Amino acid sequence: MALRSKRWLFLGLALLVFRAMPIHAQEQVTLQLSGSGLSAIDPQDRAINTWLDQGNPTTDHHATAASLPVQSVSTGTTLAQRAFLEFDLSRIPRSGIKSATVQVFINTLSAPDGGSINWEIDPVTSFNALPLAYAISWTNRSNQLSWTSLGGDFVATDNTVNTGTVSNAFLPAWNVTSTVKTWFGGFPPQPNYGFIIKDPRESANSLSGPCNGTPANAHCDYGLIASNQDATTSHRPAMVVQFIQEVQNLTATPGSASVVLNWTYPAAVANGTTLNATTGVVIVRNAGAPVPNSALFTDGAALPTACSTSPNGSGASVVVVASTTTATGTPTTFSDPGTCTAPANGTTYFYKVFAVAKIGATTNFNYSTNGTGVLAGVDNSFVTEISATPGATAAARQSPSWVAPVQAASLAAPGVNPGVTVLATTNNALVQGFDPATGNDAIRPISIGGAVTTRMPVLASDEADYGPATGNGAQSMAFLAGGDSLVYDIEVGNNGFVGDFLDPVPVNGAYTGGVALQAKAFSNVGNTKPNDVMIMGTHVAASTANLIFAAVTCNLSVSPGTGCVGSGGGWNIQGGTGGVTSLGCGVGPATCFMDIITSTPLIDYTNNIVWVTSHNNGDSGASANLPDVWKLDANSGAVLAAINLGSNIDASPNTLPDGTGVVVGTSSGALFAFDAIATVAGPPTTPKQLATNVGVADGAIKGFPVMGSNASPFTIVVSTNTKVTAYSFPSGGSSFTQLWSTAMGCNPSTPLAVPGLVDAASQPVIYVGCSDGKLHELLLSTGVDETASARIVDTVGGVVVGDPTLDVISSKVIVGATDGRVYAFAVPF
Amino acid sequence: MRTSKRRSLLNSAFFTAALGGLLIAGGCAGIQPGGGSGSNLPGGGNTPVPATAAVSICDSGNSKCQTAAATYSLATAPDLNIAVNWTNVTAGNHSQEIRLLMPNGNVYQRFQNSFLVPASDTMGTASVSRFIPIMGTFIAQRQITGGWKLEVSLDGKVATTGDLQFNP
Repeated sequence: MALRSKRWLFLGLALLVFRAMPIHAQEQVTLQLSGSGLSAIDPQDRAINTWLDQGNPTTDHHATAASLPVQSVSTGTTLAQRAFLEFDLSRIPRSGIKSATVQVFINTLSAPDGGSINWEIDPVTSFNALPLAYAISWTNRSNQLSWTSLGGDFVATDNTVNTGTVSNAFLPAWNVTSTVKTWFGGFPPQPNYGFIIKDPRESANSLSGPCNGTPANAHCDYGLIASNQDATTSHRPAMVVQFIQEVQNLTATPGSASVVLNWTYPAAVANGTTLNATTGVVIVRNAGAPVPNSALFTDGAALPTACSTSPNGSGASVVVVASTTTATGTPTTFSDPGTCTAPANGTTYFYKVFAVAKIGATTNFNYSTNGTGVLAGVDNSFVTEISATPGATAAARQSPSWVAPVQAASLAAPGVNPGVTVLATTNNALVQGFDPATGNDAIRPISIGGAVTTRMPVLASDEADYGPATGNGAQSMAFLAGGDSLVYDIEVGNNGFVGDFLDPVPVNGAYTGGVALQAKAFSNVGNTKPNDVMIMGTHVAASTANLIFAAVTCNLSVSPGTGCVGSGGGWNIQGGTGGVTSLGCGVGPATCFMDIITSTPLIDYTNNIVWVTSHNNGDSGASANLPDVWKLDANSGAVLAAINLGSNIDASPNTLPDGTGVVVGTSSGALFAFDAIATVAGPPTTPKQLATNVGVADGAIKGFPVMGSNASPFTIVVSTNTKVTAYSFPSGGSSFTQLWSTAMGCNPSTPLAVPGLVDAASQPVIYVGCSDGKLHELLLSTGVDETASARIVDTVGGVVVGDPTLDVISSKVIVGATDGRVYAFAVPF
Repeated sequence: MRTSKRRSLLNSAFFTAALGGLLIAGGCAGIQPGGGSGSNLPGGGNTPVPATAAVSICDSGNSKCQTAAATYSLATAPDLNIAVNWTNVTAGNHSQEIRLLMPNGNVYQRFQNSFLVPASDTMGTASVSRFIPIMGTFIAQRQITGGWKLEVSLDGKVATTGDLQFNP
């Protein structure tokens, strides 16, 4: 009896092990928005299901219609109708897309003269998002935003299917693989704005008779697609996607003339179908540079020969291993060199690990690349990567903890919710978030309307106070301004959902500076705003009528007294005639002109003051009505003081750690310190200057003056064109003292200095990304560049390493580069 | 259903459309017209005539347009307007993408615009202008100098390229 029990125990354990083993494969999932989208299996949070009606162009609220009409009409008859479908692909992890189809069911079809109709499916090319999807109409893509072209913005394709002639039937599926794979890869990937389904003969006078748009009219070509509200679940619009997930948790451990790679296979997506089991990986190694984009393999063929070179004619790459399932299981580790040429000490090797799935009982395989067939249409852009530098000694070896792809330059410091999410700047219309410990996706990429070019502030779930009307509870939030002139609330804690967006001010331009967030959680009683507020300035070229505004995050309103209930609204001030009038603007009060703002404002939480730097129209004469430093009341936007320091300013201000002063670095390289509170009565009323220093004659101060110590005298570190320089400034002091200035031999980033950040010898250090493709470690006390410790990011000529950031939970410095990747390095180096 | 999906922005005082600013760079000389993506003549003619694009690179005031190999100094880094003048584009909806490529060929940033060629335009013309900020950006801050390229695509296919030189 006891033996039998033990046997059952062993069997149970075996089953548990079997169930715990990842089932990684070429998978297929069906994405389907059902009803209100509350399915636990697939809520399709980001999905849209609606139609556009030319006959009622401003009518919206079609999102709950039972059917989605598609109709063509006679020339001159403006009664066309188009279906609009957007599927939420966030169930699909980082993957290579093998195929994608869209399937709809026709409830009713009317084709005159018994003929059939060809319907085309076209990818939409303008941003629209679920918070305002109910407002999508023939004229509008949200309640605020118009389509560029009436009836929707899309790329007209010849991707058609024939409807046949009968109702109550499925249409043949559209093959949309070429579009969907651009959402999961490419250089860079594209945002997903959905599809429009229409009759290509729409308004082309090709009908057999006049059509007045009434379905009963026999001369109309029209059909009614079963919507997400259709009573028969299987009839609702669906997208079927086949994909192979990329491997995850890839690490490299360098040794002497060796590198050990380890990775894991993600679990299969729930409620999907396994088509071909994953059977291992093919690893491509490249010396000195990332694996080329052209390193590709043909799906449906035998594996490449181990140690072969230059796959697909890609150059110096070496296929180091084609490792597939053995009696011991699917491989999760590889020791380079294996049977191939050993990696040389002192050379940095880049690896791409392609997951492969064996096709049925054949000896052929498919790869985790985007696309199939002709390799010219395939890309490896999101295949998992890592690099490592082997060395004879432990000190000579290095490797990033992880590498993650964005595929466009990423130079702003990533935003971090410590230990949870790192949000990279993508220079693309996507928000991408990674797990700071592993580099795996923390959220699926989020499509927005314009490029993300600045650091995004991120609040943890217990820090964000989104607003009283949101009803979303506590969750992590991020805030950004896109290249489309919109500002966004991103619900990071909701798997990356666009919570809200708004064009906040009536100007067209860009947002070069980032969002400053006045978080309620960190505010004192002097902050009269009941919830979080984002504050920033505009970059409207050739204008001195720029704006600084505060948008309440609950609905992004920038006007006093508006916004959600209880928010009090935001504020805005605009330069130019009729704009800001203040004693800070000169004799008067007079009108301030406001040149472009390219920096992120500084919020002085202690005093509820906002400091903003701006250009001054190149005015070296320091005209009082062309300020480049603005001191504003954070609650109202009122100008408390302003001053023109005589040059454009691109760097943000920063506060001294004890809160007594504010430090500003100018584009001429000069440093200024101002009292945090006191002003000099005018007119013009100016901030009270404490100290100034002309700098090191090396161009503009970048980013912001960084505080390297918490105790007075404070160490202030700045980067200029080729140098990193440190100054000392005591609390209440009247002068800066230069401590050191280090010529980097490259163009340095804004320094990363966090008190307590030390090197392997426990000496305080700062980190600087540079245009030599490396992340440098400098001693805070002397400025000595510890070159032996510099981390290799990508030293291919021309690669610039961006502003680093620190995740204090995983103890990693995370930095992007112009090679389209984000790198993480464990500290201390 | 989360309420965020249904929140209205109608009570904003600044209730404006977002797609303004597509200025036509009138007066700018075109550079490097290139073959397009094999579009047909507007009006449904049978002879394929490729769409062509002429790219003009101007400063933000459209006062200093430059022809081939436009050159700018990052020391005085102006903002740019990139105007793409299209001809022989089929009537209907289209998407233009500009990829800004760094001297080493990596993508710096992509910019996308939708536009419409009306059926009444028998020449299939369109002009799409794109503001590209340079002042205060990482291009200026990090002095990413050298020979840049603008790669202009129509409906996902590269139509033409333009050269852009940034000097210190």
